[in-house]
Amino acid sequence: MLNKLPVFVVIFPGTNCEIETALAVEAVGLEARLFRWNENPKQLKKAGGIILPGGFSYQDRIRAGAVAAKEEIMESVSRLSEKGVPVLGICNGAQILLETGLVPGLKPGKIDLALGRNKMAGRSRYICRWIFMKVNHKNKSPFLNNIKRSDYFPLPIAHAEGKFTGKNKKTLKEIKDKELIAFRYGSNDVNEEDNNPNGSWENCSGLTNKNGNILAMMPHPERAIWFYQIPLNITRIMKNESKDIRKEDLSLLPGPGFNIMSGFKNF
Amino acid sequence: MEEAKSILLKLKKETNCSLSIEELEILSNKLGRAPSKLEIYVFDTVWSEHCSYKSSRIFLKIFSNHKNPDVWVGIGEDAGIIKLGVVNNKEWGLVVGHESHNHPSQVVPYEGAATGIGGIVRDVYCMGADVIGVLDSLRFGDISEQSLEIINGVVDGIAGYANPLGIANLGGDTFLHPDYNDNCLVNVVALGIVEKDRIIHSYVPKESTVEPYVLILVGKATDSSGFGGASFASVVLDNEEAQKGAVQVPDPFLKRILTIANRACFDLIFIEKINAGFKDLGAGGILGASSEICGKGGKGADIYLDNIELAEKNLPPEVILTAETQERYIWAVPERHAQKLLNIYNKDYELGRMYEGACARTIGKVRNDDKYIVIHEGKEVLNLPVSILTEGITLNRQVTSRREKVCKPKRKQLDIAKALEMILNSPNIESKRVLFEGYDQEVGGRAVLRPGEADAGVIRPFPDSRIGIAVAIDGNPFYGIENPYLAGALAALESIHNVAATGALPIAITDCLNFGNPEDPVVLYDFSESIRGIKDTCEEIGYKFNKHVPLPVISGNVSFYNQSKQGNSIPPSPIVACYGILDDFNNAVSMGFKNPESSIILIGERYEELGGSIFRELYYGCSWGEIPIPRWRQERKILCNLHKFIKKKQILSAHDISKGGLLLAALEMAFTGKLGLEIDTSKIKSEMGLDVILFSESSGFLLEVDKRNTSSIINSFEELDIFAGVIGKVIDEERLLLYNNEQVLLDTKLKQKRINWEKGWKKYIC
Repeated sequence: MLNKLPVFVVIFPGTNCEIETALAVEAVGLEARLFRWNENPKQLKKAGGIILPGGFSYQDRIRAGAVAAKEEIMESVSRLSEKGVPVLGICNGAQILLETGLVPGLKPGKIDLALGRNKMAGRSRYICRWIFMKVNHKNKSPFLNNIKRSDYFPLPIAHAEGKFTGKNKKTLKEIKDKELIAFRYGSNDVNEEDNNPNGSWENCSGLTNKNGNILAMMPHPERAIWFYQIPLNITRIMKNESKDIRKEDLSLLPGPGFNIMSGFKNF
Repeated sequence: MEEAKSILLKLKKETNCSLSIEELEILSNKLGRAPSKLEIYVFDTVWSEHCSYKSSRIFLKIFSNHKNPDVWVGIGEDAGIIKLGVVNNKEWGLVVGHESHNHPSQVVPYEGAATGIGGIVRDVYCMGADVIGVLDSLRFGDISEQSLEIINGVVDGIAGYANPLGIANLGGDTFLHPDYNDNCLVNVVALGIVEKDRIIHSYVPKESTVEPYVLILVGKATDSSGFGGASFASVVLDNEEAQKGAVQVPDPFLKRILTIANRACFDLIFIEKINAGFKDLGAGGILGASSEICGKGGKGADIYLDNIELAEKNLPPEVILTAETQERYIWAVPERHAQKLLNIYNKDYELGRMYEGACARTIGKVRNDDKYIVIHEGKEVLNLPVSILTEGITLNRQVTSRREKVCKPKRKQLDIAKALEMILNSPNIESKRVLFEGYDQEVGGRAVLRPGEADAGVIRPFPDSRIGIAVAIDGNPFYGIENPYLAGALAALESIHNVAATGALPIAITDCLNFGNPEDPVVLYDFSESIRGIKDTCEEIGYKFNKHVPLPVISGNVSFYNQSKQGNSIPPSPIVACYGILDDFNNAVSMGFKNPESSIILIGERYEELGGSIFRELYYGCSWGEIPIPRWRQERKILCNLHKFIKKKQILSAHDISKGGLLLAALEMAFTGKLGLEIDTSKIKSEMGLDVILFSESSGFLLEVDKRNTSSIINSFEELDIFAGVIGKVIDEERLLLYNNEQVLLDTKLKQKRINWEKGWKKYIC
């Protein structure tokens, strides 16, 4: 069904990753449509999937994602997601999903988690870097079906507020027990800084709702659709990859983001 | 006569303008009467050094004789455009702008640097382009409390603007030198892409003769910020506190919304075949932009100040006209289409809801005659021929050649380990990775080789094409101090080397010429020499290495008065960015070693050229001496031949030899690839001592090459009479083994050195 309907990429004021996100949708063989925040929300019914892309919606006023979460369009997104439409929030999109409570969505309308300011050794600021992460194989979200379960894979992060955090220990335990964590930062290399770049709870880099049709993730899959997009120092430490991989034609070899985007096809 | 002069003196005092009495006299003569106060404010802006290039114009003429059909827009508009190629049956061009924002960054570093980025991206956007990257070239004083404050403010300002706007950082360079203590430099470059059919020029189109055209002002409500900004940039920094008001206030959020709304307008005018002019508001605010957009189209204008949305009440006309409120553009469109554009901004993109007072409004009409008329509170307050506003003023200032400094250091015994330690611990050498991690290098999804991965940043601009763009920016202040001609020539040459090392063909350069006070004949001489150097490099290397077509200079900027009240001038600082094109981004070569056991080849002889070198500066505490000279005939041969072997995919990695010399270049390749190396200095052609061999910054390249390809590469260079030789090999462990025949000169582990180098700038960034 989804294969026939376009994935809507929502633009909020301040969104800045809409173009490459739409290209990433098309790269996996789906149709993409850009959708402005104040267009008629009824149009969203034609969406086979929805992406809230990265950026700085409403200038991160109050908290990142907080203002966009209150936009009328998010009510439509919420209703559609209840009907099973897959929703992916990337970076600022993830922040919006947490601010609406759609993720983890333990109780409707309740905000259980936040994405707080990065906490790192020495200094805590915006950071753009490639990190490694691994899928939580106990999370059964269809978004994760196409990702190799055993290996760490690289994606870039670029955020100042990416630390999954919550106050209520019971809630945190529930999220963990229900296996809503989709991805965890980590790598085979024991370098603590790189393993958890922002101080996130449970090394969490992505989280779903209970139904598994809403995924909020801080790393950017749309920037890693093709293998050539991975920096050389990262490909070198990936397992099973040749060292002079640059010499081959990599322009058509899928990268780690491809398998996340193609997750839309599993719904 | 004396009476006229005293009137002018009085006016000068009352308006506190920076025009000289002589310039005010020129103005009086042109007008045939004494200027009004408003006119003085107006000409203080349009005749500022910043707007009029009055001291530099006669020297810059030497760039204008380049005739090249691939240059679609040259110097003179907001940004230059050079042909890239055909994608999906449409011709595309690369749009580039290059600016400085030095004074503002010294006074209020965050805002100064942020509005520097804001201004340069606007220049590129307004050509109808999509901006896809920025670069920054930064110069600061020696590490001190004050300079650290400036460094952190500038770096955060660049990040705080470009990241939310969604523009990837493609590279840059950073130098510290005590001569920048009173004047930091923040030079910025923006790159965009545009379809040839969709270029929008920054002047009223000729169709305005046959139908009425109006002027639409878009963006932030006009306030008093940046009032006097153009003339502030055109005087010596004096009272920093008092000059803070001349710095503009940045807003990347509003700019982002304007950017996507502009994109919708570009689509509209393209689909409906509307002929329009579009320009950003920079120096000189509404006055500068409206007079230029009309004047360059051979038209005049009526400007209604009462129609302009103001953020503050009761602003006087000179402030409304010349304040440099950020995030504004001006359109010249046919009256019958104006409402459609207004709706896109005000309704579709809800400017007013996003930002108080932000809007699009019609503020004037295009006139078919030469008059530029301003109406304020219903009254005509200004009525001048538009040409007098746009033609500027040219001064013929004095030039005197400089006195050469002489301080010949005594030759010291060389301790390689000690020298290396000093070099690796220098902030000018330590990796800038910490800075780059604060910038979004990935947004847009175009990155192929990021800052630090290769000599130049490489991107894939079109998802449907394999074309790659390589870009690098360079300029060495140590050379500027020694010889301004060579500093210009070498800045251009190094940027070309960096682009060529990735396998790209250079297609254009842009420059920013940062100097002291042009009223000082020595400063102006240095300036003219640097231009001559850049020009010579462009002619000798050529467009795509074609010796018959000079490499075009398609955009640039001059920044004078980088001099403190105490008279401390910055070193002559020509900074050059080079743009190159790759047929296939996938063939771009990076600098990190790839494979143990592959050969390290040196291209280019080592010469006794330690002057201006990092080695001499640190080891001798004095950088005097002969600095590298460009050997033109060899240069073109080396670059062409290197290009040939990169195309054949025989080069695993490449790095040009520049600051730090051969040994540092080799170490950077090892650090980046997390591997080690062996070097035998007896294999290096030089008649000089080890210090020259290891640390001279004579131009050349280091290449990593698979063993089976080494002989064909070396033979090919030797046939051209260029020195090329295998000087060592890559090894699997992180270790440097330096020897001369059998004698070990240095054997040291590299892992900790690499980590220190990578994290070096952490101590400066808080």
